[in-house]
Amino acid sequence: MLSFMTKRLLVAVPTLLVIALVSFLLMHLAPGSPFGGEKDLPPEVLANIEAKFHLDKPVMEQFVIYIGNLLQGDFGPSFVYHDFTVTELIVQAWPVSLELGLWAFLLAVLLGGLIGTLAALKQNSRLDYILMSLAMSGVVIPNFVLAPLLMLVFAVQLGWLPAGGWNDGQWQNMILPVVALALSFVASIARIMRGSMIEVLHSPYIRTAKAKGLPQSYIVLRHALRPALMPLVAYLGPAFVGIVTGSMVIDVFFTTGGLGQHFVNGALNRDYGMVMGITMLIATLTILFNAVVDILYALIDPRIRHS
Amino acid sequence: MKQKHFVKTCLFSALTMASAAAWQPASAVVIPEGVKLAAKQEITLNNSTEVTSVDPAKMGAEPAFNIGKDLFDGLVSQDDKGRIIPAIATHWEATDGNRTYTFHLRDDARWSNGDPITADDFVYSFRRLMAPATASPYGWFADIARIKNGSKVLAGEMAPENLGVEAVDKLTLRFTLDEPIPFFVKMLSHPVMFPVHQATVEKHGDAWTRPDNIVSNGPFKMQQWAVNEKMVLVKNDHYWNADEVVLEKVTFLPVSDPSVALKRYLAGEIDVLRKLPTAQLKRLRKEYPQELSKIAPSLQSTYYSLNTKEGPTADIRVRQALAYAINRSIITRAVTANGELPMYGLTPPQIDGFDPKIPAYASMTQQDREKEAKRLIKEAGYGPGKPLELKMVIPSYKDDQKVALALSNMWKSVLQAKVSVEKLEPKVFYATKKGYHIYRGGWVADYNEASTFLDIFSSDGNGPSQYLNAKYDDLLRKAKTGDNSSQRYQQAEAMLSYDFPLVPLYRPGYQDSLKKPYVGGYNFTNPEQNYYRRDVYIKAH
Amino acid sequence: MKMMKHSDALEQFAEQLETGTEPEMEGRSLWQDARRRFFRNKAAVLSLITLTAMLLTILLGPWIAPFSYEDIDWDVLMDIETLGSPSLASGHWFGTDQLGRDIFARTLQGGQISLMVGILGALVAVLIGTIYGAVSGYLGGRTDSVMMRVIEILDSVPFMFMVIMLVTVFGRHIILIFIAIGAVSWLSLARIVRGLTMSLKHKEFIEAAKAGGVKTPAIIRRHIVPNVLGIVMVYSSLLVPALILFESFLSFLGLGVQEPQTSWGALIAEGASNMDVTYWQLVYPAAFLVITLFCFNFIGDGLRDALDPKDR
Repeated sequence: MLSFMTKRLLVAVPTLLVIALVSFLLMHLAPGSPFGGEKDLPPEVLANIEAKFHLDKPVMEQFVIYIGNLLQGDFGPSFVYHDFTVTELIVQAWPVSLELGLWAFLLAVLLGGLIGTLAALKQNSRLDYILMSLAMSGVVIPNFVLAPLLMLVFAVQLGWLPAGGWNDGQWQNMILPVVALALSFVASIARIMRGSMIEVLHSPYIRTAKAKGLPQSYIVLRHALRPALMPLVAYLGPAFVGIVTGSMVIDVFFTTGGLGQHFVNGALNRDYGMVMGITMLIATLTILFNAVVDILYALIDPRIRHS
Repeated sequence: MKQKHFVKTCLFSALTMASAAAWQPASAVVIPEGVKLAAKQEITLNNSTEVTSVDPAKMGAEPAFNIGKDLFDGLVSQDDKGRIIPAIATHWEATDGNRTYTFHLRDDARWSNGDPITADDFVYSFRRLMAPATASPYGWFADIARIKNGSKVLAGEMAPENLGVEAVDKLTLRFTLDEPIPFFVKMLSHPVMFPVHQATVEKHGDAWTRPDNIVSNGPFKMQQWAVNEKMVLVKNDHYWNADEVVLEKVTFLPVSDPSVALKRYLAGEIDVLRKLPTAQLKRLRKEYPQELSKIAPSLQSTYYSLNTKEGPTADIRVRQALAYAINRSIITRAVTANGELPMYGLTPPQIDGFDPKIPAYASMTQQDREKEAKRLIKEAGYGPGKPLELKMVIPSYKDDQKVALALSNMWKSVLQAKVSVEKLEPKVFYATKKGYHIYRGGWVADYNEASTFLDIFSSDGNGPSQYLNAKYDDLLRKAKTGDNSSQRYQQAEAMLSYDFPLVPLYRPGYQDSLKKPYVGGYNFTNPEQNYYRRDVYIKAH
Repeated sequence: MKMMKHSDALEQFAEQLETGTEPEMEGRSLWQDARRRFFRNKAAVLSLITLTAMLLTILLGPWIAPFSYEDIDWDVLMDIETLGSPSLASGHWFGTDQLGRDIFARTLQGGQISLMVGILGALVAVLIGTIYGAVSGYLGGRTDSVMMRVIEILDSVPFMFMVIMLVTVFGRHIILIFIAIGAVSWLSLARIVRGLTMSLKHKEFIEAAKAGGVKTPAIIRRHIVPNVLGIVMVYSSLLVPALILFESFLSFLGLGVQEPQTSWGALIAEGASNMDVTYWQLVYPAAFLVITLFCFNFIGDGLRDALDPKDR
C-alpha cells in the first residue's frame, strides 16, 4: 500500500507541473490583456502595471517565478482584484463551494440512490420508467434554465426563499443553489445505482436469502445495499470534485461568491493569477480524489492490489 | 454594462468655479415635511460587477468609483445637479491664472479611526497615486489635471516628492500646475483623487483595504466584503457631516446579469435597480408604474467606427451610404428601447460650451436617406453582380449584439450588403484594432467639453477607423487652447459627418429604472451619474 | 463535469462484460440477437422513430419555414411581447426572439448546430478512444503502461476549465469547438476499449490470425475493432447528449457559435432570462433539446440492454 501511494505521489508532481505549464502558456498566448479597455492605457501607466505583475519579462521567466511562488504556497496576486492575492480569494471562496457542494453531493447521492434502488426493485415496470425519466429530466434541463426557474417560483412568486446571496451559509440561502446543483447529478447516480442493484439482486446469495423467505426490505437494506453501493464509489470521486467546483452556473445565478464565479470572471477578464490558481487547485483535487478512489478500491477488492 | 471609458468629471466652466468657493454646503439630506423615517435605515443596491479595488489609487472602473464615493470623501464633492460643493475643503482660491490652487481644510474632518485629516494626508495620497510603484490604472487621470511634474513622476523620471502638491500648514494644501487648468477643482470630485490614511497603508501594505484594516473618511465605512457576493458598508460616525447621514447600512451586490438582478429586486432583495433588462421594460412599466424612476441623460455617445483605409469602407461613398441607410429611430425605439435618442453627429448636444449643428442628412426623411444610400452604393460600383461584403466586430455584450445584428439586417435590406458580425470577448475586442471594416464604438465623457469626444478621431486617438486627417487634427489642437473653440469644434464635427469615419447612432435620453417607493432622497439627476448615498433615507413602510 | 457521467455507468457495464458471461464474439448471431432485443424495447424504438423525425424536421424544416433564421421581422420588432408571440397567422409558429427573428427557423438552425457538435464531437472522441484503447490493449507491456499513464495524467486535467481556456484562446470557431470537446471526452472510452481488447487478445480467432502472419495493424482493424463496436455504439449514443449539453453550457458562458447562427443552448440561455415575459423563446427550443436528449438516452439504454447478456 505504501509503495502504491508513493508511486501515485511521484506521478502527481510532474503531472501538476505539466498542467501548470500548459495552462500558463495557454493563458499568456490568449489574445487580449487583463488591462485592456475602450481606451488604451498610456504607455507609461501600462509599463508600471506590467512591471508590477512581471509581465515585462519573458513568459518562461514568468513561469519560473510563478512556480517558485507556488512551491511556497503562494498563488500570486490577482490581476483584476487588486486588493487581494489569489490565495486569499480562494480561501474566501472555497468554504462556500465546499459547503454548497457537500450538501448537493449528499442530496444527489440520497435521491439518486433511492431512485436507483426503487427502480431496480421494480425493474422494467412502469414505476421504473417513471422514476428514471424523472431523474433524467434533471440532466436534460440545463441548470441555467433550472436556476432562474427556481428563483422565479420560490423567491419571486412564492417568496419562500431568498433569490440569491450566501449570508455566511444561512440555510435559507442554501436551499435553491443546492437543489439546482444536485439535480443534474441525480440521474447518473440513479443510473449507476439501478445497474449495480439489479446485478446484486441477481446474485446467488440474495437468491438464497429470498429463498429463506426473508422480507424484501430486510434483504435490500441488510444484504444488497452495501455491495450495490460499491460501483458508486468509483463515480463519486470525480463527481465530488465536479460538484464542488462545477458550480459556475450556480454561482453566476445565485451570487454565492463560490469558486465557479471566480473562474468564469478570471477567464473572461484574463485574470492570469486567478485562472492558474483555480486550475491548479482543481487539478490537485482531481488527482487526490482519483487516488482516494483507487485506495478505497484496493481496500475493498484485494485483486486490484496485485495487478 | 458597456465597458465604455468611465471617467467622470469636470463640468468645465470657469464661471461656476469662481462662485463655487462661495457655495454653501448642500450635501445635507433634505427630508420633506411629513415624511416618517423607517426605524431600520438600510438599503441594498446592485453595483453590477465586483469592484476591482476600493483603494482610491487602484480603482479603475465605474463600479469601484461608485462605492469609492461612499467610502471616501475628497476635497470637494458634487451635489445632485453636478455642481461642485465643499467637502473636506471648506473654501479654496485659484491664483496665478489658474496655475496655483490653495485649499483650506475643515478642522473637524476625521478618519474613521478618529485621526484628524490634515493637508499632509493629501500630499501623501497624491504622491502615492502618481508613484510608478503603485501602478495605478488611473494615474493618468491626475495627469490630465496637469499637477506639476506629474507626467515625469508617472514615468519614473522624477521622485514622487517633486510632485506639485504641498502642505502649507496642517490645514492648508497647495497645488501647483504645469499648465492653467480652469476645471481643476472639478476633477477633485473624482474618487481617484480622494485621500488615503498613511499609517494604515504603510502598516498593512496591499492588505490595507480589508474590512479589518481599512480606515476611510467618507460617510460610510466597510464592515464586510465577501468577494462576488456582497460588500456591506455601515455609517461612519467620524465623518465630518455624520449628523446629516441617515442611512445606517448600505449593501452593494455584484450581480451583472440584469435579469437576475431584476429577480432579486422583485424578491425584495434589492431596493434600487438602475439597469433593467430590455425585454422586460414594457411589462415593468405596466406592472410597477409607482416604482419607476427616470435617470437623467448622461454624456455618452454610441457609434460604430468605419475603417477608412482598408476594404470597401475606404471609399467615402460606401461610408456615407452605410450612415444613411440606418433607421435610427427603429434602433432607439425597438432595439435599445429605453429612451435613447438618435444621433447624427458624434458629440451629445447638451455638452458645455458648444452647440453642435445638426448635419444636413439628419433632417432628411428616412425614405430620402435610404434612396440616397442606394444611389451612393450603386455609384461606388456595388450591385447584384458585386454585393458589398463587410466584416464587423463587436464585444460579446448582449446589448451590443442586438444593435449590431439590427444594423447588419438594415444594411442587408437597404444596400443588399452582406455584413458578417463577429463577437469577441471584451478583452480580445479591445485588443483588436485591425482586420475588420466596422467596429463597435462608444464613449462616456471624460469631462464636459467637446474635445473628450472629438479627440477619439484625432490622429492621437489611435482608433480603428484610422481617420488620420491633418486638417481635423489642426482644428482640434487650436480649439483646445481656447482659441475660437466653438466654431472650430463645429467645423470638426462637420468634417466627421461628411467623411464618416464613424456611423453615429444614439445617446441616452431619460432612462427608466426601478426604485422601491420607500427609498427617499435618491435622485438620478447628476449629469455625470455621480450618486451619493449620504443623501438617501428610507421612509417608514 | 457532466461529460463524465454516462461513461462511468458504461465502464461498469464494460466490467460486467469482461468478468461476467462472455458474449459470443462470432458476430452474426450476437448482432441478430441484439437487434431483436433492441426492437423489443418499446422506449428505445419509440426514441429511434422520434429522433429520426426530429432529424428530418431539422434538415428539411428550413424549406417550409416562412422566415429565414437570420432576418429581422421589422413589423413585430416594436412589440415582441404581443406581435412576436407564437401565431399561425403571422407565420411565426413558434414566435420570434427579442430581435424579431423567427424562433421556428432558429430552432431548426440551432438544432443543426447542436446535433453537429454532438455527433461530430462524439465521432472524434470515438475515433481517438477506440484506436488508442485498441492499440494500448493489444500491444500490452511497456507500451500499454506508458499509454495508460498518459491517460491517467490527462484524467487529472480539469477539462471543463481547459476547454473554456482553449475557446477563449483560439476564438470560437465552430469546428474548433467540436474538436476541443471531442478531444477531451475520449479518455473513458479508451479505457473501456483497452479492457475489452485485452480479453479478446487471447481468443482463438486472434491467435489464429496472428499465427497466419496477419500484421498487427490489420488484426486491430479487422478483428479487434469490429468486436468492440457494440460497446462503442452504446458509448457514443450516450456521449452525444452529454456533448450537446456541454455546448449549451459554453453558449451560456457566451463562448458558443457566432451570431446570426445559433444553437439550442444559445437559444435556451437567451430565452431563460425572459421566461416570465416571452415564454416561447425558452419553451420551443428547450422542448426540442429535451426530447432529443431523452431519445439519445433511451436509445443508449436500449443498446446496452440489448448487448448485455445478463439482462436476457
